[in-house]
This record gives sequence, C-alpha cells and structure tokens, in this order.
Amino acid sequence: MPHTKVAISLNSKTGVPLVFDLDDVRRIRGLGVLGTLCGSLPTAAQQNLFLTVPLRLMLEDAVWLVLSGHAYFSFDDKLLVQAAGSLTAAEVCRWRQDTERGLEQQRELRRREQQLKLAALHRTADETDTQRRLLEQSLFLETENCSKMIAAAEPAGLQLAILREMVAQHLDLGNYLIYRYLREEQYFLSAGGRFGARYVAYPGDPLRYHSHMAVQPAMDYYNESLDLLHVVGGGRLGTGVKKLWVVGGVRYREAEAAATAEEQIPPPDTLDRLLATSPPVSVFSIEWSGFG
Amino acid sequence: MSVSYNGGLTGLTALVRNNLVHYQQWSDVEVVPLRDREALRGRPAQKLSNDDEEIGVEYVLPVELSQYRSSGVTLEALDKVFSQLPASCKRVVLAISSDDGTVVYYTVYQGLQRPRKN
Repeated sequence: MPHTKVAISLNSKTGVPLVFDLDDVRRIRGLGVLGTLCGSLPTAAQQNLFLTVPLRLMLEDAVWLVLSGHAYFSFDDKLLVQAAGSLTAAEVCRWRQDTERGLEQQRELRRREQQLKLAALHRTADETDTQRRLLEQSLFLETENCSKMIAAAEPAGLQLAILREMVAQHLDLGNYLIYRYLREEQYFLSAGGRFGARYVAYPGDPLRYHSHMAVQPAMDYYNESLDLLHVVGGGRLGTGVKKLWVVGGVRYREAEAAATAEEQIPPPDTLDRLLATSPPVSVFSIEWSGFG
Repeated sequence: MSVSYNGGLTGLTALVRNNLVHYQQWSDVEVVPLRDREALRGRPAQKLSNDDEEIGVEYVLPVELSQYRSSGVTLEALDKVFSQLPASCKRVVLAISSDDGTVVYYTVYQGLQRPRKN
C-alpha cells in the first residue's frame, strides 16, 4: 500500500538522507526539492551520467520536508537492528516455507505445460533427469524490493526522538533558517559546492531556469564581519557566471526579545527553537558594480 | 595631497570621493554623515544596471580592505546603514579600498535580487 508521505531513508550515524522511490522523487521535485541522483551499478560506478535512485538530499531538504508534513524519516539501520533482534526461528522457517511453496507452484505449472505440449504432439514420455534439471533452471527466484524484516510497521515514537537527534548532530540552525527563507521566496535550492557556496538558488526548476544566486553559509549576524576578500572573489565569480553572491544571517536576538516579552522561557533544544520561534533573517545580494 | 583638495575630508572617505569624482567621473558627490560612519552620495556617469530606467543618486559606503584585520562590516552594520538611508534606497555601493590606493566597487542589495540583464 502506498504511503501518503514520502519516505526518506536515513542512516542515523552518517545523517545522509536518501529517497529510493521514483514516484517519491517526482513528488518532491514538484515541491521544489531537487537532490542529487547518486545510484549506480557497482561495476560501472564511473558512468555518472546515468545515475539513478537513490536521490541524495541535503539535510535541510529532508528536515524541511519532514517538518512541513510532506515526508517522514525511515531509519533503516535502527529498524534493521530492531527487526533482526526480534527475529524468531519460527519466522525464518515460515519464510523458507513460503519461498518453497512459490517454487512448487511454478514447478507444477511447468509440468502441466509440458504435458499439454506432449498431448498436442500425441506423445507420452516419462520425466527424465535431464528434463527435471531443465525445469529447475527455468524457475524464477523473486527478489523483493523490501526486506521482509522491515516490512512491518515502523515503531511509534521513534520519529520525533531521532529527528531531534539528527537536528542536534548534523544540522546548522542558521543555514536551515536561510534555506527556509529562500524556499518561502519560491526558490529551488541545490547544493552549491560548484560555486563555492552553500546553496545555489534557482527561480524555478533548474531544467527551465538559470540559477540566480550563490548563497553563502549563514553568518553570525551580530559579530561576524564580512571578509572583503571573499566579497571581491565571490562578487567577481558571481558576475562571471551571472549570479549574485548572497550572504545572510539570523537575527536571533529579535526572536529572543519577543519570547522574553511574552515571558516565555527560550526553548533550549535546537529543534524546539526551530519549531517554537521563527527568528527573522537578513540577506544581502552582492555583485560587482561594473566599474573599478 | 593637501587637505584643501579633499574638501576638508580625510583618509578613506577622501580617497573614495576622489576616485569617484576624478576616476569614475561621478557628479554631485557629497558626504552623507551616518551615526557611526560616513557614506557618500553621487550620480554615476553611466547607469549601474541595465534594469535601471535612468541614472539616479547612488549611495557609496567606503570600507578599508586589510587582509588580517576584520572589516567591521557585519550584517547588522549593513542593516543599520540601510535604515539610515532613504527608504527608496535598495542598494549601496561598497567601495573597497586597498592600502595601495586602488578602489573596487561592489553593489550590495538589501534582500534577494535577480542578476541584472546584459
């Protein structure tokens, strides 16, 4: 049965979010989440022109999809460990019997086909060893898409607890808030390593639009000075590739001031801060002025 | 260079003003005193962007480039500069001056901005 939400597979140690279902990939593309296809054949790993699922997302993408209710995390490793831990001999025995039953049905079908063929030729023949071997070779061994062990329902309560852990361990809150701001402005974002940026922002689907901005990692709004050599380098590069070089930071103090005004205790946890307050961000777009 | 040539200005502001007036051919260049720094205002010789209708008044913020000292230009400082300029002003030109006297100009837009047309 198809899940109403997109499943994002996440290894809780590496924190790399992956999407395996092609329909899911199409759905989140419609939401403006791009990701990078990274699946290849093990024997042809250099064929990176023809990469396929899984789609690797930025952690920001994944957290945004989950927090906005479009997706859920599926923690493959934890699920697997949990499932393997609760496995019983009886279950394994039952799976084997299921497989054997499937094969026996196929054998029966093949035998009947053979008899019909012989009947059509008005001949009868006893089953020889050769025939039996040929029949065994013609059987299909089905490889299922999903392990039987984790086909069972996901354990409850795990979602939020591990989302919290992921956010605390791997996500930079400033970057996420800049990411969310750009998303709210209807930009499509992809990873920006190619342009020395955190994100590259497109005004629509990258297949239709040239990108507009190379967005830098979030700065400390109050204490971090612009590195003017970076401004020059980024501005020149941006002008060369027709992008603006965007810097931004989060005005945390305004959110904290608002919280204090309402006599709230500021939430200690990153995820809680993410959910409870929406600190405003300031962004600036920089380009070469065209002279000097 | 004597003080009289600089119109009473010193240091960085004078350097950028002279560069604008004599090198970039800007007109009506004058100082705009802000709360904790100085900016300049003037009319460029050409339009800064093809997206502009006509040449308008541009604001210039002189800053000093030094490799090992922080520029002091935080995002908060930029927001403060914008808050002291007229509301119609959506961009300032950052005049980055290096210790050999060269000045390079980078436009800073408040908020997101699409690349200009060629």
